[in-house]
Amino acid sequence: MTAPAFHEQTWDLEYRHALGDTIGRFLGGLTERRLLGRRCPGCERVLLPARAFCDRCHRDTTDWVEVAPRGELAMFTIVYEPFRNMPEPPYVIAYALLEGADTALLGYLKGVELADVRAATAVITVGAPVRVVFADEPAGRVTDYWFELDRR
Amino acid sequence: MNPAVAVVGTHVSYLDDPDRNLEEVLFEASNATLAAAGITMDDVDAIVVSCTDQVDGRVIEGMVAAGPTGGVGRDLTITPSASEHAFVLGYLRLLAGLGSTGLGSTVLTMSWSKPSEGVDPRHAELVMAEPFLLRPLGMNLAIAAGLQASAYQAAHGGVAGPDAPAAGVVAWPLTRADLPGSADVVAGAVLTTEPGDRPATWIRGAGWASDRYELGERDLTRLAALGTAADTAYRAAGITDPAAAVDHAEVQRLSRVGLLAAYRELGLPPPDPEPEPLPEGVPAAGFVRLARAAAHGIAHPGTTTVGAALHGFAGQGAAVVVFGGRP
Amino acid sequence: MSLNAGIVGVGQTPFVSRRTDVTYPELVREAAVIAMADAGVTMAEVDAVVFPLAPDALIGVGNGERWCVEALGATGKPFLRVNNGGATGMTAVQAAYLHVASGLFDVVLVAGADRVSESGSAQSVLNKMWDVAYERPYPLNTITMLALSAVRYMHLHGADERDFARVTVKNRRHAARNPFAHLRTPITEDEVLATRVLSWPIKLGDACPSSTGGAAVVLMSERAARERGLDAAWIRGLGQNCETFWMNDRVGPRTLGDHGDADALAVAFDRAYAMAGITDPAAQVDVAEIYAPFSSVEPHVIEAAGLCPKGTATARLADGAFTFGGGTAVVNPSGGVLCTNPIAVTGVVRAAEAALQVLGRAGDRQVPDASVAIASAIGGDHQFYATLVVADHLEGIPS
Repeated sequence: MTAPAFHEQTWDLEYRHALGDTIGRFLGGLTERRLLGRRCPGCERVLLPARAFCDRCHRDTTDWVEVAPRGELAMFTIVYEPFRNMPEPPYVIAYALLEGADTALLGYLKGVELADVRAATAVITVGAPVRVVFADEPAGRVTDYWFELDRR
Repeated sequence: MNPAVAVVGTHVSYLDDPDRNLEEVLFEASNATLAAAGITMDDVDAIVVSCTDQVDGRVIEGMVAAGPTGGVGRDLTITPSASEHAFVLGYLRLLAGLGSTGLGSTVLTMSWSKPSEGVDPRHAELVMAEPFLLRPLGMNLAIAAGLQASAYQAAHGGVAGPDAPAAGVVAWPLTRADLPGSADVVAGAVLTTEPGDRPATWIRGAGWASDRYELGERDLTRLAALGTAADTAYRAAGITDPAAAVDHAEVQRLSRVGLLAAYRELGLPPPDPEPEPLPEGVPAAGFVRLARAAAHGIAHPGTTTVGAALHGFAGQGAAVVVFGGRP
Repeated sequence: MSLNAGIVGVGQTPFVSRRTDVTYPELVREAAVIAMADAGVTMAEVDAVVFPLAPDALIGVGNGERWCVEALGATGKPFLRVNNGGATGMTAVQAAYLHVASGLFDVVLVAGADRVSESGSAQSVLNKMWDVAYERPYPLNTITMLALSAVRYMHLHGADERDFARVTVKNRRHAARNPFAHLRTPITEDEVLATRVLSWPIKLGDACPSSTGGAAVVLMSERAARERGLDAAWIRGLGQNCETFWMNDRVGPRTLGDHGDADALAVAFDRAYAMAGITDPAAQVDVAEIYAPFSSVEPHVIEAAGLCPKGTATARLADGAFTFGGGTAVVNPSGGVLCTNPIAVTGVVRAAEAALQVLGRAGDRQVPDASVAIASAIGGDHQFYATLVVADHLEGIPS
């Protein structure tokens, strides 16, 4: 019986994805340290980050609405496992409901010691108040901001 | 067989601005399709879409496309193997749903390709080649079309290709002009068993089939899958003499030579002069041909129109739909 | 015209981490051959093929289904692929049902395979399911996605990690009796809790394996099945539904369905139940092969299937419900997706296991007197839901 034979292969496909004006304006807002949502005239929800249409009502969104840089954690997870092409763990991915928005914003939660998961999940909880912090030189990417616990 | 499923609206648009966001384009196109059909998203019972991850650069592209195509709260299925399969599966669902089993009466079908998302869409075609023997040699749709054209030419003659390299040969005997161009395109069609008073065309017959994958084991002088699909569709439509029965055909053009092969499989004389080619070197091309055929049928009641779609290397798979009136 | 259709043959290859002896088309063929033999049909007698294949990138060939035509004896036949992410296999069974119920085909084969661990970068591939601008820059993948859901479920319904560990214990115990399952070693709650954390609260012991293998089913029209004297697991109902793609839309007071619950799956089940005439699933369903790749997912799919009220599944599991001898429907007697996950065909396996149960051919994992079974699958970012009801009879389902 012969030894198993293998063929090594990598897909090296490159893309240049068109973001469109709505996403472009949201990312532009980040360079100004602003969080911009869009309102759907049907359900009146403010969608953050901004989207050009509401998939619930199947309508175009209309008004731009600035959202406050504070709110509370809606959900989170603490990643301990390294995954290929992803950041070095541990880190926290979280969704936060900010004041004025009806959908949650995705971001890293920083500033909490993560080595002990029990201690970390005692302070990182659903409902914990957070504020949005911007990088010193935001570049128009969704990693320009992150959350920190707002221990008021 | 009694036709039971009609097409009541179609939409095809080629994008002139590659900087448009794909999901937003889909949203607009879904609404344009519904408008063409005279319905709203509330009237849609199910959705079937077809798209190709490698062309648009999304993994399980149906996920991000479900929202803009109206999927939230609805039954949505993705058929990526062939754009025309979105149309076919929608048709099957409606046939199955007659007699009210809760499957509904109206299906929105859509397909699209946005090659402008990719830096090198031809390179993306390479990954469709099986990795052991074919990919190291290099294969893409143009090369496969060239193989098919060379075989057809050897068998049937009279389709001389260019002699000089300067004639812009891509894959001999095909030049750039012989091959379909590429474009960003999105299309939709609404199928229903209850058209009411709306202008409609009825599906008189449909057939689809796939030939083997290995090019070396296929008879490339033919488009066999297209022949099989045509036989099935014509039989269902009660057509024994297509040249006499068919008033208009929308046939996907794999290449200048492939078009001749296709008309031969369909039992139709090739058009003379050859119509202006569409930029159909993209996966959605098959669906576009079916949508165009349906649109023709809606606009010309009392005629019989055939739509012929192809997919895969050298038209490995095909679908044929016959549109006509309701007796 | 809507005709009756049933599953008359099933095939699975024993699921493992790698198969170095076969190519992808050969693996698909392996499962198909088993299913066709089980149904007593030859390849020539198959009228059409439906092919489940989830992301092409995981098997490394774009539109790899086209490469499998010869292996399935499908040359010259109607051949159609579906891809609804993890729900693909179940969506394929539904598409096959539509083929038969349309009246155009009598014998339809669903066959496919997956080799998840053989893509070295599965989670990196799956990261590209997410939105280009807003989500891909973040390390979202199926593990983090479900961890977020688990956190919501814990918050909404007061569950903890031990509640989830209990699910792993139950399913491993079931899988020990299933010769096809991938992970078959029994495990204790404490052992689950001691496994390493992947993405809190999901630990290795809460997560499905990456499985390689093939699965297939043969569907037949009632007429064809009766002509051949075949028993069938009759398809009594089916349903699909989609939730919003946007996970950030599944929290807060304006959400249609919380990311911790599976309300959109409940709608898909309602659609299948309405077709099947099931009004009280907790009483009328004997077996549930319901897709839950992580332990934390099973409680909310049990609830979405209507087997117990929302938020009560973990307490019921702690009381011994949903397993053999528990006085309720048995949930995932095969061990479920938690013990075996060949992504593209996981939904086919659910349908196959549900069929085996009502046909009385589930061997050591047979639920006694199983007559009505449900199956479900989930795809995308907990976005696509497909559900099925099968029964050993075509008459009204008893209350």
